[in-house]
Amino acid sequence: MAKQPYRVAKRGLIQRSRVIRFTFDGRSYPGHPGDTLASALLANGHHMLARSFKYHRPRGILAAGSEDPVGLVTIGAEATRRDPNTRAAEQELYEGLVANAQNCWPSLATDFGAVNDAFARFMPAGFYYKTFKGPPGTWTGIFEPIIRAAAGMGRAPEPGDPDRYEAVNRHCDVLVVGGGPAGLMAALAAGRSGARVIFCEETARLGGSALARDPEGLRFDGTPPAQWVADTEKELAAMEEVTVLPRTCAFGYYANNFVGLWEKVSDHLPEEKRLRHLPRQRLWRVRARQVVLATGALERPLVFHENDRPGIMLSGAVRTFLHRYGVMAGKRPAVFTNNDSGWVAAFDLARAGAEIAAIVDIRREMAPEHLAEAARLGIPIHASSTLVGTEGRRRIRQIEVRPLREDGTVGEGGSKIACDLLAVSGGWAPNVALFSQSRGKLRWDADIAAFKPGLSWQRERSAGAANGTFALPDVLAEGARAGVEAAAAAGFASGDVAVPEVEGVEPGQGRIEVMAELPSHLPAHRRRAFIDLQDDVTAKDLRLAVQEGYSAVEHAKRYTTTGMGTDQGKVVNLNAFAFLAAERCEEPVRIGTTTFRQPYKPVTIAALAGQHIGPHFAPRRMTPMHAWHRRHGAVFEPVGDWLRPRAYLRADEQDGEDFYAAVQREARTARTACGVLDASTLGKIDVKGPDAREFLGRVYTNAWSKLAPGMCRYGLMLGEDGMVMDDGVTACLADDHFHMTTTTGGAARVLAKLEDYLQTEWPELKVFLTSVTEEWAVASICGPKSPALLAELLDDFDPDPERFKFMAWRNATMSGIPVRVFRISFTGEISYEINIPATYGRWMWRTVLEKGGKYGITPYGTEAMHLLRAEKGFIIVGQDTDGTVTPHDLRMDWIVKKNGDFIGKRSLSRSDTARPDRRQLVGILTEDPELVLEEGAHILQRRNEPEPPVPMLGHVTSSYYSPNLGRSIALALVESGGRRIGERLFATKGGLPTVPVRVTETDFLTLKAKGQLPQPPREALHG
Amino acid sequence: MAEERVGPPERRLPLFRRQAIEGAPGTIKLAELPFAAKFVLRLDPAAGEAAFRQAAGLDLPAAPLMSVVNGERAVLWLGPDEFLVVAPEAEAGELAEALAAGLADTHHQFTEVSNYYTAILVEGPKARQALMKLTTLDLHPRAFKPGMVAGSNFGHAQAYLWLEHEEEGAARLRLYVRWSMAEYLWCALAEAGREWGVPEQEPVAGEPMLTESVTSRKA
Repeated sequence: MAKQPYRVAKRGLIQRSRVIRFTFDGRSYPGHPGDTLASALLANGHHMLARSFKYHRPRGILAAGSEDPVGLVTIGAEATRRDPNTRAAEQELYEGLVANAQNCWPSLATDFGAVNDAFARFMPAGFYYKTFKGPPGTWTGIFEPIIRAAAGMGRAPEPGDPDRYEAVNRHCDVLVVGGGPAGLMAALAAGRSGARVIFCEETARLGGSALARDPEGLRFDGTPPAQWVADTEKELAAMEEVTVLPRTCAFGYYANNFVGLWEKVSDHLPEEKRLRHLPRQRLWRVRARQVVLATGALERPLVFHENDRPGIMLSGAVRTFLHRYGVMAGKRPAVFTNNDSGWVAAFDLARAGAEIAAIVDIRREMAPEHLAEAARLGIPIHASSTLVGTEGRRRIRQIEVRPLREDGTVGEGGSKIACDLLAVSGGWAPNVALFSQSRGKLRWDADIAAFKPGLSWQRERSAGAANGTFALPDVLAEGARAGVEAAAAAGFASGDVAVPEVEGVEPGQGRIEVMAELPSHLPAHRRRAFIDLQDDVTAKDLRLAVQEGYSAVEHAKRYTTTGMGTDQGKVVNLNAFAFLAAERCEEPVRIGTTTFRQPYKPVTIAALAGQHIGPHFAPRRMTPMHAWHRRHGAVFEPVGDWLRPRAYLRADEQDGEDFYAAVQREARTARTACGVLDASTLGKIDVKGPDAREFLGRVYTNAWSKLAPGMCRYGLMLGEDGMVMDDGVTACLADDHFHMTTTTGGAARVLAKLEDYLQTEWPELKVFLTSVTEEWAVASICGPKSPALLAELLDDFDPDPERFKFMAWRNATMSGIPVRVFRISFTGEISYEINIPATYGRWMWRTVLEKGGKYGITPYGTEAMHLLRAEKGFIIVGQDTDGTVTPHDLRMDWIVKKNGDFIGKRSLSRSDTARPDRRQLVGILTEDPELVLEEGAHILQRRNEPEPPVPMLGHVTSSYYSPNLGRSIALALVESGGRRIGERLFATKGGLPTVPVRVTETDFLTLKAKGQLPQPPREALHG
Repeated sequence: MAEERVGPPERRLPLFRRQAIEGAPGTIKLAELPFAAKFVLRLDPAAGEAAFRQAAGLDLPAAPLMSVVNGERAVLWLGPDEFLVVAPEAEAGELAEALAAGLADTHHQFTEVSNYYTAILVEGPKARQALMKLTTLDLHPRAFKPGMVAGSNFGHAQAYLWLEHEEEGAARLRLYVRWSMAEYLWCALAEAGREWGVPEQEPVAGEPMLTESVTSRKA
């Protein structure tokens, strides 16, 4: 068997028969299944495994669980699976585990960053903020680069995580958090009632504190602790409605009893043994009727000079390593305590064979039975004494003890004592993090000098040590009671739950004496008594914060960064609060605490993202014709959640076609021959009821009373603010029945708004709405050849534009399939929209393209569609409008009715919306017909921009090169635009000189037809 | 554009490229159900329940979130005045006509959505658990009982979930999802089933995208 010098025979719940090997910082070590990385390193005598954040001081292991602020390592050999800032005390050991030290360079032992330590006095509290106040240039020139380089802990994994993660949702009657004695009893009691119970435990096995003490003599109804835990677990496992989740941390308590659990499904297994079909980690999003918090208590360290060396460990952690993992953290330990817990740890260690160097207790009076036991074991006792210093670089090797005077100062004399471990205990504090996250109010308990749960805000209760109840029989009883009450509150009655009889009850922590900072003979400026061991905040830093006025607890936290590390100050915060209280000469209860925030400990982003990543990130809505588009060279753009073809790039020409050329070709062909657009994504709403006309008249700005069945009308929809919100064409199907269309992106918003109005504003209107967007696949066919194509596509159909007039619609059939054909146009060209049941969409589209071949049909994308409508001067809501544009601003006064109300009407007469100098939509033609303005370009009065602020007349909203007009065109919102038609203005062009432009009407096709469009010289024509 | 020979009308469901898939025996199975007639009925039950019963041969659900089945026809509660009526494809015309006649004097809306929604079958003893990875609905047997219907988000897709039937712990559920979201939801469901051996379904992806403004030829 490989040598593990600090492994103790017969103790611990590890599997001794098997030796597994792991590497830390490149060196191989032996350990056993059941170990954590921390316990295995300690078994090998390795204490130092990290460097602190600011001063890069050597750090060891302070605590044995997730509360450990300092024992942080990076797990994983592969860069994509690397897990930084993992607490060694939490990481379960497995064969081949690779761990590395972090926050050090070039190595853990020789770390250049440690020079920070020598300059500590130049980095006082608030150092970071003070750098902001330096002479000009020092922040960006000096401090920022240095601070940036030094910031961060560990290195984030590289992109390309090969593992899967998953989120699951669950509802339950009772959620029990924490698998210690109280949690076990609560889960058992709630489970027996038949309630749906979720029971989570952060570590690999249930048992909690029951497994962290000497099993010798401890009996639950006559059963040894490990056996009792196993029996209880077995009973729970047999209950159908109880879900036991080990390795699962409740990290966040949110509103309405919503609790986030983080399950590490396979992080404890070697890579090759991880089950492929299971995620690596799981996020449980639990909605619980009732919650029982059995999160235990955390032990505090003591604040004294040089209290941060590796080998200085909490007394409870020392016991946990001994009893749960069979590791004696030191062979000659010393104990420093302000309560009885330290004594119990000393006795445990002595019985396990350690030679106790000393028990140093700051108290004057101690329990006689402990004194007797210490005498029996031959342990040297230093009562009413304190530590004034320690020594040892990678591991503590000596402490200096001095007597404490009555007045709280340090006396003369004292001694230096050699040791290889220092177990410290500052007393136990309920772990109230989740309780506080739930918005529960804390209560100060002077007996334990700590906060405990007071008034609940949500439907939860705390039990056991989390509630400040420390004696095991009381803990069990309180846990059982909490389980029964929680189940009852959730509607499940359970009988009395027998609480096991406990033999071998340990004495508690007894009387605790708190000194915020232990006194020292050293002058204050030479003392380095650490309060936050991760972020390197000393008592001196906090004192300075108070002196500089940051004495409120939330201010001091931010000024000094106390409790702002990855550990969120689990074990150190209470010391910080006590210190602030002492500095301000107030009771701790008056100081309060900082806010406990989610998460309880760092949760991987991968677990939070779950399965919704990569191609599963979000729905990409596709029309029935999507696959065809892809096969025919489409480049897509997202429109809302939809993917729409923006243009179809031909591959058959030499070198293929670029996007610009494709758009020009499509737009030209659509206007001169025939083009087809997939318009399936437009929103469609079926509107029916006797009051449908009245309803349309209220939601659109124009009148609908006279629209006959078989006809269509364009409408603008405004928000209550009078601004254009959506537009579209609505067809009258029958006197009380309409087919409304909306923009692609606005469909959901419009339906929700209309339904909202019907339900809340106008319940008297008899109108029903149903979305039919995806019932129909839509081909919008335009161009001079389109009537001939329509005649061929449809059965016995006369598409002649003279007889089937613009803005009419008809039922028809296409190879026998019923379709609706709308004579509506978004291009100004003769145009037909065929709506066919969506399941035939693919077939229809292919048929249109096949039959359209001889007419030279081209499919065109959204870009050509935008270009074509701009040639006609039609607006696009969201491009030419931005939520600040009224119909009058669009110079569409004709669509606003004079009589009758509609949504937004009143806003149109507000002084601001009615003022005459608002920006209005106009056409813009550059004097150089080849020049295409940038969308967003500013419109100016004068050629030369004056000194800022430059008076802006407006900006370009749409800009294209029009192949059909042979020149560039643009639309713009320009101040008093309607009155400026014909004016010469100027447009900005990046950083270049401004260019002259002419203000025109927006319908460029009509301008051309009237001969009002200046024709460019022939050779300038594109294409 | 290459000419293609296109045949007579053919109907394609959104998931026509996907085959039914399943996990290990006795776990979970996914399939897209064949085309069926679907209608959204908007009707105040107090005003038109009797007329509806007469015309459709179905009662309206007596309670929220419930459904009524008669042979191959079913009506699902979607809201206080909103129902999904499902029938075999061949009965669509006849049903619509009967409803129009029966409810002629009652304010109502009967809208065909046969093509709007497709139905994905999620079946097996693990069906509830798989769905709970995608929805926050409480799908525990105590909370979601046979016959119940609920509309919610499944992943990022809105859908209606109907527990059609359950026997010996094996639930048969249907998800009515929009055409455009079916592909996303199918792949998300398969992903949720991987724990029980459902094969991975690669979502359609990799379209060439162009989002920036282009106003001139390539340089």
